[in-house]
Amino acid sequence: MRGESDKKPDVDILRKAIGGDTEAFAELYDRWSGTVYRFALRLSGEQSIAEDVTHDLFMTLLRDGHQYEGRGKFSSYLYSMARHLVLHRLRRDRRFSQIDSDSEELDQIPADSTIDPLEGLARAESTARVRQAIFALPLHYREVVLLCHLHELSYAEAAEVIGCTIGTICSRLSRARDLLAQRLQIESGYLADHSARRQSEHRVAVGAKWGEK
Amino acid sequence: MSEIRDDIMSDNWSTLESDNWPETCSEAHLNEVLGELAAQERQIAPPAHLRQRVMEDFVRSHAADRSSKELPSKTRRWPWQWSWSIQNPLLLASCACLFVAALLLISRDGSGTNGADSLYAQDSVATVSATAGLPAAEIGRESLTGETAQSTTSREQVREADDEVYTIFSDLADSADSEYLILIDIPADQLWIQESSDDLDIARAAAGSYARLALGDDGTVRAIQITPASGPY
Repeated sequence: MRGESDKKPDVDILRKAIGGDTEAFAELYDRWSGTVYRFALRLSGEQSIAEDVTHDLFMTLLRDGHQYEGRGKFSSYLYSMARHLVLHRLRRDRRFSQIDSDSEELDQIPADSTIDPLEGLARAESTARVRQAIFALPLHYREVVLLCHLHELSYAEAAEVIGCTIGTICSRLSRARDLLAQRLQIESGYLADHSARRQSEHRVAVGAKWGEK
Repeated sequence: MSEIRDDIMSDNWSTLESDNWPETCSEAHLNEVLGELAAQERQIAPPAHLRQRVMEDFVRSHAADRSSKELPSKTRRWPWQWSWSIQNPLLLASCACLFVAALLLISRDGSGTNGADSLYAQDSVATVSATAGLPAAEIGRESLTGETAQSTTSREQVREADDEVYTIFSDLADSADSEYLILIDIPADQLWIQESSDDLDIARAAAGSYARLALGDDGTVRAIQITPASGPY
């Protein structure tokens, strides 16, 4: 979510898009849709909600985007809007479904060919656990973790998005990290030994390969 | 260092692990896995069909916006700004309302203000039905006068059949011979009995409800059944 200085300012592109410039709108979409989609996906836990929110957000931008005057960060403006849309949708649907570890979102992550397949599998497993643990957090903790850790917003930016003080963000984040660590440790002693376990699994697999030869 | 080694050699190892190491280890590993997760998350992209959907809606909304802007201002006037020609929908609607109101007034004047008279003024409510296998019969208007019905129903007992249907029986209802039972459908809001009899609970029947009168051969009312509009009539 870091703006790049060599790009055109978002607010200029937004003005053009509102004026009906299709290319400008496409550029705006390509620039920010991923961010919005990922945030909505992890906050809601539902792919369909994430898609709808992303769609609605860009349509809302066309309608109300002229209200953005370029004072705050454009990213914060978008996050704030996406958060509002997700919460509205969750309230409407009254469902807070759990992320399925076998859900297709995991499949969307492209495989890294430079990583050993077994190591990649172990990593995917560990990150899936963390992702599940994050989703199991209460909503007000979850959104802080998503914004500050996964989307790397500063505390000030996260406070602007959520509409609270920086102190609140700090305390929520601290509490969320405690809960996260507890949850992961309770599950399988995961954090304490996950590296060692990964290495031993790797060694066993390599040994098995040598044994076959 | 030697203390640590001593701890390791002794049983204090577990204490050392649980009290000190896991916390720092957890923090470090938590940061590590969160970093890994953030890196993975950045690779997730919205589905391609979503882009297509958004772009199509963008084009559609701008096309609609353009067409609304291109509309001549003449067609976007408020109703009271419309010209008073025969094509004016507001004028036509007003005329229609006046016509219907006049018709209603005329029909009221023709039927009079007496409830019993209005009962017979409408053919639909005066139709004698043959419900429950009873033979259909014609009732002369003179057989159901206000006086006879009023005198009979002054000794009514109210019995609530269920939440929906209120059944009111006269003293004679139990002994009423079915061959004399004739059912007439009457809208409850036109039933004069509900105004003349204080101890009846017919007021609970909303307008649009229907009443069925069970009449004896002498034309007196033996039973009245009120079915609310929402009931299974």
